[in-house]
Amino acid sequence: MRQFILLKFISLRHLVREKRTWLTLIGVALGISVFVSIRIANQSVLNAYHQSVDAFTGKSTVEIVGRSGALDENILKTLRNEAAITTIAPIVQTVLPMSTPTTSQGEMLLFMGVDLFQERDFRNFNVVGEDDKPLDMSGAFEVLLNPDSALLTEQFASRYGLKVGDNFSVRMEGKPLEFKVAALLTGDIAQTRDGNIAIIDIASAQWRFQKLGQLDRIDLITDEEISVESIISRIEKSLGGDVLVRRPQQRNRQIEKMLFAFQMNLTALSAISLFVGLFLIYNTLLVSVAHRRKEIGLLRALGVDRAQIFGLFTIEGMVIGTVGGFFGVVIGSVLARWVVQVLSKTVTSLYVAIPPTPFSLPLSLFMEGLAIGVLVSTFSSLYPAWQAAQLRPREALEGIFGSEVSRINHQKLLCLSLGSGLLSFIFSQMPMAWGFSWNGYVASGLLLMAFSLIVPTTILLFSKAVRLLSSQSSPSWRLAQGHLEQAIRRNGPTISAFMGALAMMISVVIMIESFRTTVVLWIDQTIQSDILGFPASYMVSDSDETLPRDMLDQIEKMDEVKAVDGYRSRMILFRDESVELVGRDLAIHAEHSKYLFRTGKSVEVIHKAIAQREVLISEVLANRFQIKEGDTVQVPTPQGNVPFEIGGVFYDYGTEGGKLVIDRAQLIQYWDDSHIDVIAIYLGENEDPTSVRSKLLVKWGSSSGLAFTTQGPFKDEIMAIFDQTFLITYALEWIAIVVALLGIANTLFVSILERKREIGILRSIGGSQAQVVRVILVEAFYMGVIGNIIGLICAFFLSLLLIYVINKASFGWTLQFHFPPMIILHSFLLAIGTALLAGYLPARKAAQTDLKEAIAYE
Amino acid sequence: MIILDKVSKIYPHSTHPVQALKDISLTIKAGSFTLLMGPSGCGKSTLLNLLGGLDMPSSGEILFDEKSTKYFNDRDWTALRRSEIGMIFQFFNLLPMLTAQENVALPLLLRGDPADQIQKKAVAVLEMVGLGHRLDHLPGALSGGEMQRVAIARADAISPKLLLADEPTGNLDSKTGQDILGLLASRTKASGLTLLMATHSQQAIEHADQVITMKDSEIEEIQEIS
Repeated sequence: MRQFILLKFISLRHLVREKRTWLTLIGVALGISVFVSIRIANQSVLNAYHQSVDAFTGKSTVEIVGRSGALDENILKTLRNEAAITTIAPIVQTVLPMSTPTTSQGEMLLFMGVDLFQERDFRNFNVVGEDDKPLDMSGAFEVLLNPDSALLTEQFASRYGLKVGDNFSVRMEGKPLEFKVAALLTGDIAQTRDGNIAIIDIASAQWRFQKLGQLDRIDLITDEEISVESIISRIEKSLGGDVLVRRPQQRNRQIEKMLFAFQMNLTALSAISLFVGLFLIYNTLLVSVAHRRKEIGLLRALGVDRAQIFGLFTIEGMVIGTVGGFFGVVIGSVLARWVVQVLSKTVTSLYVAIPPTPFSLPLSLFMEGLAIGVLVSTFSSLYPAWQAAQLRPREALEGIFGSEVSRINHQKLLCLSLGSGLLSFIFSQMPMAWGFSWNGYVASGLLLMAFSLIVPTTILLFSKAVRLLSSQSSPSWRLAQGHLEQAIRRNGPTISAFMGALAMMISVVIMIESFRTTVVLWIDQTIQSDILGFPASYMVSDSDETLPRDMLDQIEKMDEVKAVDGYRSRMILFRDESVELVGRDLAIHAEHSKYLFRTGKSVEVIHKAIAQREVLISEVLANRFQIKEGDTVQVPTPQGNVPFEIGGVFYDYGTEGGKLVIDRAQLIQYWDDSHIDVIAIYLGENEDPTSVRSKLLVKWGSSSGLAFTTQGPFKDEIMAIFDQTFLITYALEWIAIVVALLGIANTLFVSILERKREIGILRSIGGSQAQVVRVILVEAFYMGVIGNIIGLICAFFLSLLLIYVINKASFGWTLQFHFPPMIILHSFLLAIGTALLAGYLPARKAAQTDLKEAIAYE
Repeated sequence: MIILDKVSKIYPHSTHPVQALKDISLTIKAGSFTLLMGPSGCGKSTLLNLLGGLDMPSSGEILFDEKSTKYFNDRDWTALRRSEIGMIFQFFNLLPMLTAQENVALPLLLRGDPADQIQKKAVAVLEMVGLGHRLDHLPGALSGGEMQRVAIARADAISPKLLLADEPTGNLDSKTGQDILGLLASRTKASGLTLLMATHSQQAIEHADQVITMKDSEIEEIQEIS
């Protein structure tokens, strides 16, 4: 009850009246909003992904896929003899772009070739015929008998203005493939992929997509009485090692793992703002305790005990956290609408096709945001509250503040910093676990702590240096320096928070710049062809469209062309995990382009690989499966497992999960796959790529949906995708800076309250308003400079952790460390600009201090 | 010469406005040592604040050397404080992070005096108040009397025409207070400045040329001391 009285009469009045409470609230709200928006966006994207996966998986308990790619349909006979299998649903599927428009913007349509009678047991959908008349299975089967017939979802059909009976066409190998809308689909399955699904009869699919005798997947419903694991082992035994029999959930595990790492990284980044917000509350309360020491003394004199003083300040922190948390969730949900869009775009281009994700804010996330606000604020208010409780009534009444008179133990702080740095190093050397680089994040946190701990000592040293170096004729510099040194305890946490935000921002920039430089270098060295030809849909992640097969020969015959390299990529199951297998003309690649191998010269390694029929693998694959040059790996082919020796490991930044590269001749030999996805064209000397490109466009022009691009624009496009990926990262960083900016403004505001008298004296002895403004701004400038100096050094080490620990563990890429020298100037400008901006309002307020009050104040 | 003509100061309040000064009219001669005496709350400090431009009168006019300050803005008052008005306070009001020399040099720095002259002047003034051996001491390391000497030196450094002192001995023991009064009197005589001092100290009367007694925001008596 007494606590409630204190809260009502003391805390709430302070909270409402003091402007700095509002600054803190805004900071906390922003910090939480970033965290919440990323959580909402991550959740929404994951939900969308799961929803689409679940609708496809349906009720199947087991699925069978070919390790080398397609399945032979003859295995259906064997499966039919298995008593434990209740229903079998064979599937042929492919993703092709709509013919119109013919650019890469044309929507992708997933064709599922199914056995309609079996499908009913697996997936939930309804078929509606002409005049909205529902069709039963036999009715639907009847309309699909024609090999040109397809069932389209209602939403897709309406987007394209298609009705039952209308024709539409998709593009395959550069030519249009005509279909007729036989009926419309509704139900769960029609909701996935934003409705971009077409169902056709399985036999039609095999014929029209040139997959005769092949299946892409077989879904099974098995006897509930028998354990799924025992059925899986029985099927494996009867079908042999060429197929993979698994639970449907396993299929998504790999993508989920990568998504998890990606989302964890984003969450960790968003936690930066939360961390800065935590400092903000800590600082506000610490300052509040200092400012209200007389009030605390009076309360103690009036009979309030230590626990109640402790409770008073903790509750104040909690109130800030709760209100900040509430607004944080509200702002976060607005922010999330944008993040969801960017995120689903990024995830689609990096990992898996995610439909345009609907935004949703579940109550659980709303509550989570609030809970985070309360927890963070309670945690950060504990120390200030403890300090308040330690005040002795007499000292407090006389205005002596224990912590201010006690000396800062710099030696102790430096030892703690060293210990924290050492622990950070130890954690950085540990292996990752639970699918993400937890140790990297712990190491980063410890590193930040190590640098935060040296802030007070740095302030002292900086202040001494300024005193030695600064001109005696400038009072602003000397006064600001004097105050900075005098208020280390107050300025320390603010500069730490600012330093932390800056360090994280700069380190992420260094990481992205390193990544960018590495990718640019990689592109420059490995993409040497003058012109690249590919289906316009190639840049969309899951398109199965390939180039016309005769294109390679025809281009090769052109006078201007010196050589062409046909590039084909397909997915296989390597050690039960989905990886990319590439077949290309290695001899041409060796002669005209190169791979950046970990060891060995490109020409030599590739020629040896051709001669000895070796496989080349990317670094990500080598790291993922712990394999290296000289190892022999079993690669599943339609003709069984084939042993390949690893001829070389090359750096590659184009594929998320890694790739295997073999000579095109072997792809044709083992997989009978002569398709081409991309054609790399090398021109003769003195040939103009632009005019040859025009010639190619005339021949295979836009009607066939093929794109030809010269080297420059292709590289630009890759870099555009790269930059898009890091869009959110930059946005998150900026918000952290804004939160830190509020921290500095807050500290300076408080500093002015504390220095009212000093400002009064300054004015009474002839200091002008402009000179007062200058003193405060110089102090802000000092804070910015110190924050920036420590922030830059901290950022250097943080970026090493990001590049060599977190990124390496999460994605498997080796990035060349690149420290852009301009970042020193940029960060300096940013830090100083931010600090001066944050200092301006407080400085204006200081200049307008009521002189008689300031002088009379005692 | 300083002339106050019907100067009043009212602190507004929605129900109970406070009259701090009421129709004050007086003349303070140049080079005089004037004491402002009276009980606490009678308006002494308010009067000094108005004369120093720290506060503005609600009505009436203040003239410095026949120049009206009625339309002075903040910049004009700042200029006046830089060159013509020095101030001394009961609690010394030194800046704790600056040394004695820096505290004294500060108003000269703020005024933009030539750098080479500033330090010389600061040292000279501090020597004049007997603190030549305490130049590099921070205020925390000085006694109360020494701090007030530094404050006097700071006020004196700009060679003001008017020195306003608000109970400069109020926080000192009587012996030290006496020393400070002696110092102020000698500085006044030596430099010919005008000193207006609010005080409760009876000892101060022996140094003064004029004693103004205030009561309830008004002048009760003006006593010339021969």
